[in-house]
Amino acid sequence: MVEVRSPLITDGNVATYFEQLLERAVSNQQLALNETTHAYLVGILLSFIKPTKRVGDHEIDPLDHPLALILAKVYEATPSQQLKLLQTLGDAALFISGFFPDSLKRQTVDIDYYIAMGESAYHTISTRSRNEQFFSLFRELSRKFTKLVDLFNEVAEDTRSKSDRDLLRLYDVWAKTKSARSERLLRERGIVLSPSPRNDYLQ
Amino acid sequence: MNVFSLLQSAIQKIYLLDELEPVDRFMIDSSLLHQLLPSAPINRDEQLLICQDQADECFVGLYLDPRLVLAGRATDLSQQLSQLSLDDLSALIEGISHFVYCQWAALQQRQTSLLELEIQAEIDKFIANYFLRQGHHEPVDLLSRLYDAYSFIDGLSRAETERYRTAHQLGKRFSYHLATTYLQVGEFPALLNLLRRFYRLDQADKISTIIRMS
Repeated sequence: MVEVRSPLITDGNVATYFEQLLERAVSNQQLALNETTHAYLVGILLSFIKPTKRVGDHEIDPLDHPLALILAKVYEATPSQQLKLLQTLGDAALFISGFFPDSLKRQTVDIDYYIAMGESAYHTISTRSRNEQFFSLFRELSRKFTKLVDLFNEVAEDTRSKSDRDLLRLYDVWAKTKSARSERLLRERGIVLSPSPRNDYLQ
Repeated sequence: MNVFSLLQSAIQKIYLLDELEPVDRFMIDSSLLHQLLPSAPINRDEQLLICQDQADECFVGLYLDPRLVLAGRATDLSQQLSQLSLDDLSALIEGISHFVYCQWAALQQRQTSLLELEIQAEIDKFIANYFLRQGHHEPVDLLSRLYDAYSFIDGLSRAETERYRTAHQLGKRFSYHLATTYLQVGEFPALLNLLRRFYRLDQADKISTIIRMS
């Protein structure tokens, strides 16, 4: 079965630190989250301190393991391993798109891919969950995925130097997702936003 | 009727879609493509360009390699279909699949993603190839020819490579299900039902559906 990680079982100081950052981001973004989801998000942040995971015979470092390859393992896994792999995939997609948007090479279409994969992985878990708590948790994670990316963005920015902020990247994210947070940050930096940014996508 | 309209009409009939704008009117050449988007890569056979300008106007154009445009505008349909290589016919199908899905999604006011477009194109590549060249390949043989040997073009970002790889895996798995569950036993009405339902699912449901088939 999938794991709902709790900050209670890990290092108190680090957990408290992430809890506070997340609490502040949730409040800034006025995002309604149920308690289990909040605890789960803290769990994701903690789990990526040491990201390697063991699922059945597979040892996976989601930060170094393409999502497509994790998905490939899903097909060969037992039903319970499938759920764990999907959870690993969803967590990695959320963590990477939220914490390392710069690693996505300034291409908003790339964020689109990670969001699509994360949403779908959590959605699949929710549709297969017989437990009401898991169903609600993963349904919320799936439905609010883009907002959670925003949330992790804010947590990430709080954990690193403000000088790392990249206006162009922020603008790209806003142009693609119309995220309220990106819009607020851009306006705070004096950027005047037109209601309809130009988008060019190639497929 | 030319090859473009045949392919578009085949896709629309398979998925029971209302009348859409013909793809032939939206073809762009490489100079217009690069005028509109100077960073557009030059090493791809087909690219769908979608631009939104400041006035909220949306521009859509399909770029195809000139050899594919030539084949697509030909009107000797049976000769062209038998002469086109599997790769070229597949590239034509993929380009038209992107164009049709984008247009249909826009008319339905549905959000879509690049991953969703790619997954659909992978499925269309199999099913349209099968119906258009019925008798040329057994379903499982066609699967193998389409999906077993593939490589990625140079210059893709990590996420682009991942997206194509993911779409390829998911498309292959779904097409394998279509081939073994329906095509091999001639269950065409059930096949069309599934394809039409699947086409209208949202992205997360599509991926969940395919994973459940594993």
